Formats: sequence, C-alpha cells, structure tokens
Amino acid sequence: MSRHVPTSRLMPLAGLACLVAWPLVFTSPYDLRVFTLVGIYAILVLGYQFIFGHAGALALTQGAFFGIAAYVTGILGARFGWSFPATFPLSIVVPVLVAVVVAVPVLRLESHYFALATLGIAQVALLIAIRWESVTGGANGLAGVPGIGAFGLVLPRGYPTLAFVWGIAGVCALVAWWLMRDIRGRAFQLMRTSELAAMSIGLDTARLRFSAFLLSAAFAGIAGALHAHTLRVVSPEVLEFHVMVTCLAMAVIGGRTRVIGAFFGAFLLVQLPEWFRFLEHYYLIAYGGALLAMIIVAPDGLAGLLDRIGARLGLKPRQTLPSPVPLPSAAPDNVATEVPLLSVSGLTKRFGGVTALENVSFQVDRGEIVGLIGPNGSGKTTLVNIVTGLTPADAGEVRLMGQDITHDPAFRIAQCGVARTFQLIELVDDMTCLENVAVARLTRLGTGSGRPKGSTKVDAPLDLAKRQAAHLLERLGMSDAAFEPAGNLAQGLRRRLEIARALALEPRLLLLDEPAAGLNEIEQQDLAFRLKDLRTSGLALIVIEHNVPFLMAIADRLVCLDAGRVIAAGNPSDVRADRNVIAAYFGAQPQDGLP
Amino acid sequence: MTEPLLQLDGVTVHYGRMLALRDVSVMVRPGEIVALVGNNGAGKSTLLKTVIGLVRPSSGQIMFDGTSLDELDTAARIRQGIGYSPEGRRIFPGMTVRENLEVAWRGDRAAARMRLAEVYQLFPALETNADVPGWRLSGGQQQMLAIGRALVSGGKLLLLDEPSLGLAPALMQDVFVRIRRIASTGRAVLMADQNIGTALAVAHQICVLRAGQLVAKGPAGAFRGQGEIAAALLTGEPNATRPG
Repeated sequence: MSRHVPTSRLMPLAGLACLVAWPLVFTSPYDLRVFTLVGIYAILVLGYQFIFGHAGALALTQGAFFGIAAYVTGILGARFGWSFPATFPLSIVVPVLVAVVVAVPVLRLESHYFALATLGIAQVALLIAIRWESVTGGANGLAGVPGIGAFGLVLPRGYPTLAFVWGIAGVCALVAWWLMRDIRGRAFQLMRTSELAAMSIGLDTARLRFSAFLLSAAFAGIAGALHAHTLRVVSPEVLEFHVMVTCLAMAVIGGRTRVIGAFFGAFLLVQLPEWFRFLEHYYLIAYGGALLAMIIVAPDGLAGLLDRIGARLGLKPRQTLPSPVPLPSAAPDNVATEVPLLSVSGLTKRFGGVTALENVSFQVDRGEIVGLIGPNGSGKTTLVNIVTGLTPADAGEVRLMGQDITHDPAFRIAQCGVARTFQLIELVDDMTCLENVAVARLTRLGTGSGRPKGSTKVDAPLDLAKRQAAHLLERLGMSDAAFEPAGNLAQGLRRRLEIARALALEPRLLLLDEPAAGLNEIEQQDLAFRLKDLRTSGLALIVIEHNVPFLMAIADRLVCLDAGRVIAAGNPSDVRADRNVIAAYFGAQPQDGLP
Repeated sequence: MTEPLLQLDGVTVHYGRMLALRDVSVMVRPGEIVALVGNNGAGKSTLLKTVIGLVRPSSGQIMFDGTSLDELDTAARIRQGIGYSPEGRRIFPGMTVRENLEVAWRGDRAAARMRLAEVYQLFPALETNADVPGWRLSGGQQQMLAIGRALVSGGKLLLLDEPSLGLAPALMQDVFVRIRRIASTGRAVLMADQNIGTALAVAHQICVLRAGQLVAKGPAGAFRGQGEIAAALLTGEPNATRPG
C-alpha cells in the first residue's frame, strides 16, 4: 500500500505554518501576550470539541472548568506559595472531579435541559468565587500568582512563556488528534447521528459521552492554569459567561471537530477585536457582523471551508481500498446444543393502556431463519426492540444461549452477538460505506476476542478494522461503493450496507426489520440469496417482512403475531394456510391476489 | 376525452450537475390512477416532488386544473387540492393521530369531518388510535397516517410515494381497493411503486421511468402479462447511485 500525504492535509498545515510565523512578525510584548492567549484559548477549544463537537452536547460548563482551574492555580500559588509542578496537575484534577460529580445527574438530560443545567453549574461557580472572599479574594480576586517555573526558576514573559504555552497546545493538539483520528472519531459521529444505531453496534454511548465530558474538563483545566500563570492575577472574570461564549464561538467558527479548527477559531476571535480596535465604539458591530458573515459563509467552520475549497480544487486524497482480511471464523459457542440460541418466554409489554405484546414465547435455533409476520401494529418491531434491549419488557424473559439478557443494556446485548437492522435505515449519510462498517468492526475489536495478536504497529486495530470492513463490503458485493457516502446509495445498497455493518459484530443472531421493503424484484432475489448464504455459517436470523413470497423463499419457520399474541408458529406453508393467519393477516385471498 | 387534471410537459430536473429527470411528459385525468414504476434512482420520487413543488424543474412546465403551478410554492399547491404522502413516513411524532390528520385540512369543518371519516373507514387502525401520539404508532400504522393525511388535503389529486411500503398483505389489498373507489369519485392518483405487480393491479395507466427518462407508457392492461415491462425495468442499473 502506498503511503503519501493526502493533499487535503496540506491546506491546514499551511494555515498552521502561518500561525507559527505570526509571533515572529509581530514582536511587541503586547503582541506576544495576545498570541499566548491564542494558544491558551486553542487548548480550551480543543477540549470543548470533545463534548460539543464530537459528543454533540451543548455543554455550557467549559468556561466554569476553565475558571475553576485558574482559581486552583491562583489560590495554591498566591496564598500557599505552591509552584507549577504541584499546582498544574491539581488544576487539571479539580475540574475533572467536578465534571465527574456533575456528569452523573446532568449527562442524562436532553439538549436544552442539558444546556440549562450546565449553565447553572457555571453560575454557581461564579457566585462561590465572588462570595467566598476569605479564600478567593472576592470580587478583587487574587494577585501575585507565580509564573510558570520550578525549583526557584521562573519562565520569563515574552517568548519563553509563549513557547511553553504553544508547546503544551501542540501536545494537546496531538492528543486530541490521536484520540479522534480516523474511524475512532467516526464512532462519535455515529452516536451524534443515530444513538440507536450506535447502541446496536455495541457502543456504550453513555460512557462515550462521559469520557468526552471529562476530557473537556481536563483540557479546560490545562488552559485555566496557564491563563492564571501568564496573567499572574485571578479574578471572577475568568468565570464569567463571556469566556464560555467566546469558547463556543471559537468552536463554531473554527470547526467543531477538527483540531486545526480550534486554532483557527482561537486565533480569529482573539485577533478580531485587535483588528477592529480602530473603529473604537463601533468595533462590537463590526465584530458581530464579521462573526455572522463567517457563520453564513462557513457553517462547518473555517476547517470545513478549507476542506470544501480543497475539494473544489480537486485536492482529494487518493483512496485505495485496504486489502480485505476475512473475519475470524465463528468459534463454536460451547453451549450444549439442546439449549436454543434464543429463547423468549412470557414476554409482555404495555404502552400506556395499549398492550403491545402479551405473553409471547418462541425459540430460535442456530442456523435457522425465522420469519416474523403479522398485521400492522401487532408488535413485531416491539418484539425485536425488546430482544435487542432498546425497549424494556414489562414481564417475561429473553435468554441468549441460556443466559438471561432481559435487563441488559442494548450495547451489551450487541456485544453478546445480537445484531440488527432498522425499518427506517439508520446509517451515517456523510460517512463512506467503508467507514460505516469499519466503525462497527472497530467497536467489536475493542470489546471482543478479535484483537490482533503480535502486531507491533500502533494502529493495528484501526488498520485491521478497515481491512475487515473491506472484506464485509466485498462479501455483500459492494466494494465499488466503498468510498461513496452512504447517503448517495440507492435503497437496495443501503439495506445491504446496514447488513454489512451488523455482520461486523460477528453476530450469532441477526434481526432484520423489513429488509426487502423498497427493493425491486432483482434486489429482493439478490438479498434472499445472500441471507440464505449467511445461515450456512451458523448464524440465525429473525426476519420481519410483509413480502411473504420473499419470506417463503428463505424462512425455515414462520411466527405470526396478532394484537401482541402469537397466533401461529411453525412450518411456513402450515402457517400460511392457517385459518387465523389468513383472517388476521392475508385477508380473503391468501395468494398474491389483488383486486 | 376528459380534460387532463395534471399535465407535466417536458419536465427536466437537475440535482446540482446530475440529471434526475429528462424531458418527462405525463398526464393524469380526473378519476384516473397513474402508476410510476422503475428502479431505485429512476426518478419516480423526484417526479412526485416536482409536482408538489419540493423540487424545481430546470425546464418544462406543470399544469394543474387549467392553471400553471410553476409560480406556486408547495403550500399553495397543497391548497389547490393536491395531497402528498412522501416516502419514509413523515408524520408529526408529537401530535396525536387525529391532530396529524386535522393539520392537513384547510376549509370548513363539515367537509373536514367527512374527509376524516373517509380516512378512518380506509384505515380503522387510525380511528382506534385517534388519540395516540404519532411516535407510538408502528411503522405500518405511520404509513397509513401519511397516506391518510394526503387524503385529507388532496381533494383533487393524490401523490403517493410507495404507498404499499410496510403494509401487511391484507391491508394492502384493502388500501388499493379503496384507492380505486376514491378514484371512481373523480379524484386522480399519481403514485410511485417499486412493486410492478401492485402497480399493474391498481393503476389505469403505467409510466415506466429509467434513469430519469420516460421509456414507456400506456394503459395497465397493455402491460399485463408482458415481459417487456420487466425488461424495461430490470435492464436499468440496479446499482446506480441515487442523487440527493
């Protein structure tokens, strides 16, 4: 495989070079101070990108974490005379601990409630800083915060401090890039686009959000500490809302998820007031106007704008399909064959007064295809949702290879080998087909047994995930579309892509919700052929489908639900001829007769 | 012959640089059911969206009931008596079933009540769930609701995108019987359907689209039992990517 720097990477690198050159041109102490501030804000925004950009949660705590860290540095440094090596780690630890405490109640909230709750936390921090005078110095704050230094040596202002701050910013940038590189960041994109799909491939979305929140706090801690050291003063200003607003604006204008975007945003928003200073009182109008213009011209931020320009200029990285690697062949499950793969017993579910499922019991054996039919609203999808853990059951039990999974969360059930597709396809449309599958594969490699052994390459799991994803695409006959965004695909291919993603979990049981819907006859035949092929490897399938001819061609057994009860189960032709089934489901003419 | 209710004349649609429809002319008369058939990406949905005004043609014109639709936006077209049921069950999840149906109606209450009764007769499941919020409906019931909403606003013309998707066989037969009955009262239907069998069974006229072009049209009877329609459909590119 050829290694080369994709040309689209060159654009941000050029921007970075300009940033580095800047302090060599503007050399007054004031310019250097402003540029140091750019570095500090860049760190703050890099952190904010985790929770706001990647996890997609509008947290308004980043300013508070920043301020808390500044106060930790200020109090320990100015009041107790502690120096940098002691105060710096503590300034990171304290905001992270605060994040841990507030995350428990707050991260469960949805969008605007989450924003409001986090805003409240920031206000509390500000009030404490103002009122707790004996410790924080009240409204006047604390002066005499020591500079950055150790063992009696203090880093002078100007270039040395600037270089130190930017050195740390560089390390932070590397860490942020490393954590979110390639398809690792795509896992977050999947979670933002479809939480359901994320859970169904085994991603613990609550944990992902939690870790993003803590990372944000840690980066804010670094930025806050450096801010206190460079200013040598800490006052309630660091906790005021404008810090948060500036950080948010920087993330939006620079780019929410790209490392280089944090630097662009920080640079622009720190420099803009300087550039507009000549306008005196009118500078705020110009500032606001410039921001609005930016948001209109570059809704994805400057980083996104550069990408688009790059694409327009034809600077697209060359894409070669990674050489496919087959998935490990399924190991026998060590469970006695008398124990069915899936056994559902006495399942009951009510929504308000409506009974969706009533005492439903059935079993699925290894390598079996079970068709699930029934009138609209008879509970088919509810049943699949309960088996996959998306909906809790009111009563009854779901066992997978003898193990009770009734109350397990969705992601854990997925990790146990239960994969599914959705009635309305849940893919990330702006991700390529390869990425859509590779994310699931990487999740599986991270939790399962498939971790590559003896490889010395740092990125081995990532590499392997992509190559195995390429294999899955090949197996479903869609290698040609590997680099096509999923949103560009026709319905038939989208269905197949969803199945490829499900197969990346190496499932033992695959649940398909109306897989043939919207497919033409040729595509249906193709799908039927591929599903039957899957069964030969021991995989069991539950297929919900209204297209009975399609189902008859593949199913070993049919189960028919009506009003939440199983009214018939067994051999497909028997179920089809069953009088109750005809009355409830097929109507008067059970053949394909239409008026 | 009766005057056409809807007439598309040489309609061409581009998505960016990509050609989605080329020089398509289709006519629907009052009381007539016209089915658009063709592969995914052939342009069926685009054609319906063009009629309702969600997509603007780059050339060609659309006449409805004697006036041009070209200058009207989607809301105005719906007020003209066109009902549209999009692909993918776009219902209002936070509203009840009844509210979902009522928002589609502009006009006097008596007529609205009649339309509601008509929808409930067509889909009894919607009547029993009238006060249930939309999100709680099953996928197939949401599909019924989307069609029902189109029935409420479509006093003259119904545009149905894949109406049979996700409906149980018995219900599907029922829906098509009733769509025929609705058409017999003078309302026209333009529908897109992947399933050639259903299209042939329910429609009066068939229009076959392939890669954005109208390749065949005629009375459904002429297509029945003929291999050519299948050939016309299936020699398209099944793997063609879909625009937008």
